[in-house]
Amino acid sequence: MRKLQLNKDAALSQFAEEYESLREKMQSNLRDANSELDESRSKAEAANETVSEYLQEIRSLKEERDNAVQLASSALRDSNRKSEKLAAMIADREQVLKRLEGEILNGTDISNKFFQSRVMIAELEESLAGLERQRNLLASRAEDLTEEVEQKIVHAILLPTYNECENLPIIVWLLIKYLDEAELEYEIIVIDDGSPDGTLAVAQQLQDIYGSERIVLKPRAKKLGLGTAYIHGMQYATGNFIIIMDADLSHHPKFIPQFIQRQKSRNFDVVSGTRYAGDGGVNGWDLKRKVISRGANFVTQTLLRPGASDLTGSFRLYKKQVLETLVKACTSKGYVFQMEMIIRARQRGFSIGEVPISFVDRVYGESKLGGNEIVQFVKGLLYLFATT
Amino acid sequence: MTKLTEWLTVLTVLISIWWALYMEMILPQWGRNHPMTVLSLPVVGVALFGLYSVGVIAYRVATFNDCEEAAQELQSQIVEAQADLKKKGFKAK
Repeated sequence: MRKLQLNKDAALSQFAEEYESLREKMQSNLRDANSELDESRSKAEAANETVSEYLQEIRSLKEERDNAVQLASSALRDSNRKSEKLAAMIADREQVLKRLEGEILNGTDISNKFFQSRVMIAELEESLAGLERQRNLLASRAEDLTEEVEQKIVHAILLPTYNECENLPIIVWLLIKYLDEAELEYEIIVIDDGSPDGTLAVAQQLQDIYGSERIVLKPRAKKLGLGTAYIHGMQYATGNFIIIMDADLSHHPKFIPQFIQRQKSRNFDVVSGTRYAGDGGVNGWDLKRKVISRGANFVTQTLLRPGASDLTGSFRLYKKQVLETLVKACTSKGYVFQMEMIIRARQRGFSIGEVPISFVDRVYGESKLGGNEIVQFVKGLLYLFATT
Repeated sequence: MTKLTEWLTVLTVLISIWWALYMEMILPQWGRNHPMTVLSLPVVGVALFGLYSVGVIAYRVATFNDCEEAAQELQSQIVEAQADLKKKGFKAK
């Protein structure tokens, strides 16, 4: 039984040790728990504080929100009022706009009408200008016509003479007969180169008989050549056309109206009398003379191809301007001078018409076809051949 | 171009053609078969032109109008003019 008691005591003491330790543990646990509890209580308090802080914040935020809402609603009210005002203004403006549109339409209308009337005015001005132009045209035409009526186209006939005291009266008589018949305005300009046979006195007599409007005397001191005679005579010519011819009756004045008509037909610059074409012909030449004449003409035509059938003829009508131009351009003398005139006329593009004429070789006086003439002719021909 | 240069140009062309013919540069067969013809071409050409010229001139001389009536008319008109001028006081020498 001791053992059992020992055991029980041992057990009891063990139990009491265990119980003590347990109790200590439990007390420490309790102390821990208490401290934890304190901790949590303080935490809870802190949390409560935080919560009440948050609640405070929430309340203030709510206040702010309420304020903001109020502000917003008042602002909204304000802006509503403003937008109402603006709407009212817009409505006003629209009315004004409508009124202005109406006025613009009116104004466009008016400006259209204005524009139309401007256009009409411009058209009227144009037609007025057109009428004025027509009137001016008619006025100048009338002027021209009156000028024509007053001045008329005057034909100046240049008659260079040397020792023609017998032929001059006849030729003047014939000229006046045919030109008066054709009712042409003319003047006969006699250019005597100091003829020793008294041609000038004869011319003076004729002037006394027929009047100085018809017969103009422009003599020169001595024989100075055909080209210069033309230039000299031209200066005194008042007309638009110049007719050159020989005063020895080889050229017949009855052809002059034909020349003038030919010139008018196509406004020729030059009309040349031709012995070789159409009814043209010659009287008083023997066979030898004819052969020489035709031969020379053939050679000239072949070499120069001048576009006129009679180059050496001196019965021609020129426009005054044309004659001036050509005489200045020509340098030859005698037969060749007449040839050169035609050639230079061609060169410058002047138009040349032809009229067949009859050439009656010298009734009085001598023929001039000596060897010297032929040499001069050939030289002149070669000169023109080489230079034109 | 002056008429002279025109003529020289045409002559040069013609002579060149003849020369080409002569040198058998053109139509060599024909040239070799007719040598005399080739040589005589220029002469014949000139002769033909001469004949043509003479013919034309002869024809023109033959058909040259004689204007007898013009001469007669002139004669009678001279007389008429002298008479009329005398009436008007013209004193012929």
